Amino acid sequence: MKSANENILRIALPTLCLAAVFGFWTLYVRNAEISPFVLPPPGKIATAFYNLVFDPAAWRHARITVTETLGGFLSATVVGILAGTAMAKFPPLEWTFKPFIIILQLVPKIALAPLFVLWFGFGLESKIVISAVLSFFPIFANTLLAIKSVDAGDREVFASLRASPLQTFVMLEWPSALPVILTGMEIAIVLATIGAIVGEFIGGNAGLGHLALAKLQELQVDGLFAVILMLTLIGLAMYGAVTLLRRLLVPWHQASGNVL
Amino acid sequence: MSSAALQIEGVGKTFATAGGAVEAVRGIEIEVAQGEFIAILGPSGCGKTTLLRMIGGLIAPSQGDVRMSGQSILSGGNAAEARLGELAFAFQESRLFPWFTIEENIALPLRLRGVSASERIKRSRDLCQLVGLKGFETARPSQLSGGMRQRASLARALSVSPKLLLLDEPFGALDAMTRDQMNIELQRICATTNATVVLITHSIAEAVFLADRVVVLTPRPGRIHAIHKIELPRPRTIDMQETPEFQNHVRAIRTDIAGYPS
Repeated sequence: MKSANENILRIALPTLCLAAVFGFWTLYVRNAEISPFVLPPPGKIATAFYNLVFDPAAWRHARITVTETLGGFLSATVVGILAGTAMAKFPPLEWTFKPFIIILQLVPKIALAPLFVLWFGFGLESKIVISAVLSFFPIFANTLLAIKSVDAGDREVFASLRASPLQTFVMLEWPSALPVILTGMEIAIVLATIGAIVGEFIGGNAGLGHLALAKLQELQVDGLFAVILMLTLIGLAMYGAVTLLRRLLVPWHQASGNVL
Repeated sequence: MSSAALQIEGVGKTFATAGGAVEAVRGIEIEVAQGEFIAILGPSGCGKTTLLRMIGGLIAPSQGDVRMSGQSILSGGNAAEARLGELAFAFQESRLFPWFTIEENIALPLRLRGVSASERIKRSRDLCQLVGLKGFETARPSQLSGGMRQRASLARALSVSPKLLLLDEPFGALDAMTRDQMNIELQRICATTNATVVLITHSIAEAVFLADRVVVLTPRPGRIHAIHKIELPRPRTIDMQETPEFQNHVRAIRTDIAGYPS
């Protein structure tokens, strides 16, 4: 049985660890005479983050990054699930397209980013495309694999009940694949964020990726750290939303109880 | 035309495998009367499960025919489909679906047939009562013990009021005590529903305890080695297993199995 002590330790220990790292960091920066332009102390970063949070411009950038990330992620989710399902149900489709999807997966997709900027411009569209391309594969691959690996004994139950292909899909294949698809989505939401930021690095004048570069060029390294911190928190919130989706959609699944 | 509930006529099955053709079952002839309980007994790998799947229309025999109430289930078309709708399977593993509650699992066959939600939940609750799952209607399968999951699996098979119940070692994975208990329950349920039952098992005592006739199969390819008529009074009890009559049947079947042609 889990004791009350264990619950306290599970919160206290990581908090202490974090405090120790920040303490060491602060002392190191002070005593090793490192330029604050290279590595600012945590205190300065906290101040910069505080200023960033109360800067309406920062929230405008954040909104753009979130829009790009969600746009890419949702497109990848829809296309990934549809393509994965279609190929799982119609093997000739898989035979036709899967080799190309695998090869495209092996292309370092970040390297394609400049091309998308060229094709789709410096606005939101190119970032959404980069984000979608980066996050497509885990959703697609997990959907395909999960539907194909539905337990043979479970399939036999549906066969013995003379279920139609549609009934088998809705009541057996889809629910048994969903936990695995959601795992793909958890990986994808992280990749989608990376896609949006890389897109902002390459072109355009908006979004937190752009803001990060701007801070660097103004030599506001504490500001850069603050932007990175904001991106991390946004990423955490979006990842949390997907895990929440798991709890809502597949409450019966074992892994649904554990977040992080 | 015979009025037998189930006729298995010269059924055989050969599987094509990478290593060549493997004959699993050969020349099975059994006629089962309405309401009769048949146990099919044989060593592992003798093709009993293959035979049961052929009887239930899950795999097509290489030779022979299977008839329910005189109608071939292999002929295709509406008549065969209607016969197939009158049978139900329960497997060795309960095969309940975790995304459904117990009553939803039990009602699944009715849902697939388009029975209305209120009607099928009512039926499901009656069945929970019948198999001793009252109070667990809205539980999830993971909250139930192995024995209770098998009860739910049996209730799911019974939901469509099948004329023919096909049981593939439904209690094979349970401990001995739970198994005895489940066999008594199964006997009671069969008496209530008056379904014709074909049970696959590799337990001689279980076969003798439950069946009107025990069909003993040979090792692969599975053929009928002997058929034993069990004329013990019903309802049978656990104590009855200690009687000389019961033991004589068990011994006769064991002698049969020892005398397999090599």
